[in-house]
Amino acid sequence: MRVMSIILALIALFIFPWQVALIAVFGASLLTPLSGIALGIVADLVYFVPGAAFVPYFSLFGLIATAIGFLVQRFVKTRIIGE
Amino acid sequence: MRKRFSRRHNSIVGAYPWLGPAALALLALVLVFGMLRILLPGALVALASPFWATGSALSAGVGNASGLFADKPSLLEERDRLLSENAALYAKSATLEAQVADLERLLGDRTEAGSGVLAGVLARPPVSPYDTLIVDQGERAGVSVGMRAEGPGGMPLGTVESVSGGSARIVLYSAPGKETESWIGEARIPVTVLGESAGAMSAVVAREAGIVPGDLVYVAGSGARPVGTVVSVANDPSLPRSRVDIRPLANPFSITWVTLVP
Repeated sequence: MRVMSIILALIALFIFPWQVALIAVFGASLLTPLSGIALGIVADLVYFVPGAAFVPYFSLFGLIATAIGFLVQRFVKTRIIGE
Repeated sequence: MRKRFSRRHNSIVGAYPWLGPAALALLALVLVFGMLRILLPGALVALASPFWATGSALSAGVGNASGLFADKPSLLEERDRLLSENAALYAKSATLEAQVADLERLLGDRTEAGSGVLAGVLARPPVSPYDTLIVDQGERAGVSVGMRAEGPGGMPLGTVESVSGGSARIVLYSAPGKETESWIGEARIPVTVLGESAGAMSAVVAREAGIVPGDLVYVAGSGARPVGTVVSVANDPSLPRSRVDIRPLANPFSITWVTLVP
């Protein structure tokens, strides 16, 4: 499931509109937090050029998604242990 | 009997469960793409090309499928408009053919090769997130940073920002935050056009400038080349300046070929 979500998000970066790819990356980062930042960097390595934007937004989004992914995983683990 | 285990043995993975094979695989993925981008940019484009082609085909398929749900009156209206447009184009084509024949009789049929490099677009918005185009011609074909990308009829689209051996990245004038010196309206009022992403652009002009929807926006430089049309002007009487929204003449979502000129 985790590997599948990462592969799907990676393919989405090349096939689907970037908004769909963002959702796929976010979904993958909920299952595997580090995939958010990794896929964000990959997207910027493929598409970003210095003149295109002030900051590499995809990497920034990946970083945020990773942080959220960690928070969610921690919350879920706390809930499971607490039960 | 109490089970003994070494806390030290599991000290890294135990404390950081996410630092496992998945994390290492992701790190490897980033490293591979980073090395490809820096050392072998051509290989990266070659690797991604089949996926981009699939994405383009899918986008076209979705566009065609959505047409099935359009209502009948609007389809009929569109058909009538296309029929009249076709008739006008046929007449124009016949006139131009006659003109070409006359010119060939006068000058012969020798033509000089046009300047610039013709390049196919591999990735375009909305797949490409920064309003960038990735094209299949690079340094080997004579493409260099700073060249201007032109669409049909010599319409300026953007500038080349990065080049590798067999590919180049073009930043469109509509890229978020990109500023382009331009002229607006019949009076050619100088303005700075700001990219708003997804093809949209905007500018701020004096309210008294008399800009109205439908005015053309030209890229400043040799010859006035139109890049877009004004779609709306926010006329707030309390402000001395008006915000102008600009729509590009060429739809960035359907650009398939560009000409790169110095």
